[in-house]
Amino acid sequence: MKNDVFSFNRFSRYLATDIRNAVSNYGITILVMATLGLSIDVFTGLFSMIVSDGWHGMGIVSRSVLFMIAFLVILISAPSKLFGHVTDRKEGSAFLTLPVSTLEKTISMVLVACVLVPAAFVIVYFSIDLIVCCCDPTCGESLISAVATIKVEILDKLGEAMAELSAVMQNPEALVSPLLYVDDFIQISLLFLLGALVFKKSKIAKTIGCLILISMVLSMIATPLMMVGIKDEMEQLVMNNELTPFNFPEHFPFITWICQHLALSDTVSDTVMNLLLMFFIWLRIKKINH
Amino acid sequence: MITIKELGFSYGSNVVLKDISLNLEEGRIYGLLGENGVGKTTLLTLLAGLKKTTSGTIDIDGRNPFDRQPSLLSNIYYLPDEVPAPRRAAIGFARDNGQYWEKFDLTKFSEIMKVLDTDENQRMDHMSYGQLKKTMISFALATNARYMFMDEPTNGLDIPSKAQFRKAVSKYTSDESTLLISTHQARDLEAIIDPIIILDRQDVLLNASIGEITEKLYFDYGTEIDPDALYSEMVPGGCIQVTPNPSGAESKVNIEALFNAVLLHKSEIKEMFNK
Repeated sequence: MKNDVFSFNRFSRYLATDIRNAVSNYGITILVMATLGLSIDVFTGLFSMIVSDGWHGMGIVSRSVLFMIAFLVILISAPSKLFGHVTDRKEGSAFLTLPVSTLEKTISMVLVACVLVPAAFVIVYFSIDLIVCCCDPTCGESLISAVATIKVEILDKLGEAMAELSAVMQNPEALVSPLLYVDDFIQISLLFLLGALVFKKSKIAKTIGCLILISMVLSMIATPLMMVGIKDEMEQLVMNNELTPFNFPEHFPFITWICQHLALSDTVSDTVMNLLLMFFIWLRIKKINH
Repeated sequence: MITIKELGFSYGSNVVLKDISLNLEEGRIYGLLGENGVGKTTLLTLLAGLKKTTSGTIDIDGRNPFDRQPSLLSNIYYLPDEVPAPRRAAIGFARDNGQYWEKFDLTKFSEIMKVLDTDENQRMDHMSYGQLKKTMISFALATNARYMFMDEPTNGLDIPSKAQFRKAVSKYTSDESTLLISTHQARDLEAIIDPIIILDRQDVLLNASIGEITEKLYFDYGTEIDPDALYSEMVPGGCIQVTPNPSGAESKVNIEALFNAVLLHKSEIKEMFNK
C-alpha cells in the first residue's frame, strides 16, 4: 500500500517538476526584474554624463530602495503567476487529478513560490549588483556587503536610544539582523499564494483589499482587548506626562517581557502565522471543486 | 468496480443530479448519453474527485474519489472536454506527468501519437485544438489507468481522427480498464461503446449492454413505418425504427434512434429494462 499522505520519492519528483515549470514560466520575469537595478543604474550614469560631465551610478540607498521595490513585486506576483492556474477549471482539473497528495502539492507550492523563487531573485539581483560595483567605481558599496554591515550601521545610528533599549532587551542586535525578516518575507508570499488559490480573477488586487479589510477589523478588535486591565493606569501616566517609549515596558510587565524577547516573540508569532497560512493553503487545495 | 448510490449534486439551489444509482463494471467501455444539461460532465467530474457530492456516495474500489488519494488517482484518468495547453513539447509533458501514474507507458504514448498522426515533439501550446485533444487522448490511454473518464473526446477531431480515435481506444485499452465516455456524437463511438447509459434530468433511464438492448428492442431498417414503433425516423432510402422485440430477433443498434426512443418512452423503457 502506497503512502497517500507523504512519500519523499514522489514529493521530490513533483518538486523537480514544479521547479522546472517555475523556470519555464517565471524565469524570464526573474531575470528582467533582477536586471532592473542595472538598467536604472546605466540610465542614471548616462544621464549624469550628459548633465555633469562624469559617470555617477546610483548610490547604495537608491539601489537598496530599488531592490526592495523589485523584491516586493516578486513576492506579490510570483504566487499568482506560478499557481494562480489552480482556480482555472481547465488547468485546475489537471492539477487536482495528478496523483500526488495534497500535502506534497502544498509543500512544493510553498517551497517554490515563497522560498526558491524569491531566493533565486535575491541571488541573481545581488550577483548583478556585485558585478556592477566591481566594474563601476562610483557604485560604492555593493548590496551584499551592505546587508552584512547594515546591523552595525543601524545600531550606530540608533545610538543612545539603542543603549537605553538595551537595558530592557536581551540580545538587541538580533532585532536588526536581516535574518529576522526572512519569515516576514515568506509571510507576504504565503498571503499572496493563499489569495491566488482563493480568488479566480484580480488575485493580487483582491488579496490586498482583503488584507486592508482584515487589518482594519483586527485593529478594531485588538486595540480594546489590549487595553483591558491597563487602560486606567495608562491614562493616568499619559495625564501626568510620565510615559515615554523607554519607560513604557517598566509599567506593563507583559509588554516588558515581549520587549525583552522581541526577536524571539516576533519569530514565534511569525512562525505560528506562517504555519496557519500553510494550513489554509493545504485546506484550500484539499477542498477546491472544479 | 465503481458503485454510485443515490448520488445527488447541486450548484446552489440548482439540482443537477438526484438519486442516481449505477454500477460500472471492470473491463467495459461505457457510453454516457444524455441531453444538454442533464449532468453528464458533472457526473464525470464527481467520479474524478473534482467535486464533492451533495448527497449519496461514490465508491471506487472502496474509496471516495473526492479524498484524492494518490493511490486511487493513479488508477483514474479524467479527460475533460477542454484541455489545457502546457508550454512544452508533448513528449516532455508525457514524460514528466506520466511518472505519477503507476502503469504509465511512454512507448505506448509515442505509438498512440503515431496512430493519431500527431507529432510528439511539437509544443503543446502551438498545437491546434484537435492536435491537443489527440495528445491528451494518447496520454490518457498511455496511463493504463483502471478507470478513464472522457468527456466528449471526439469534439474537435476531424473525420479521419475520429476513426483513428476508435482504433486507438479499441487497440490500446487494456482488458481491465473501465472507460466511461460522455458524448453527444453517438455515431462517432457506436462501434466501441458497450454498455450504454442514458442519463436524464435526475434519473438513469438506461444502463444496459448492447446484448441486452438488442434482446429487448428491435432496430428495423425497413421501408414501412410501423405505427406501434417506439421511435421512427425517415432516412434516405427508407426509415429506421425502434420497436419492442418480443421474438428476440437480432438487429444492429442505432444509438441515435435508441436515444430518441428512450427519451420518448422513458417509463416504458425503464420498466422494460428493469424486469
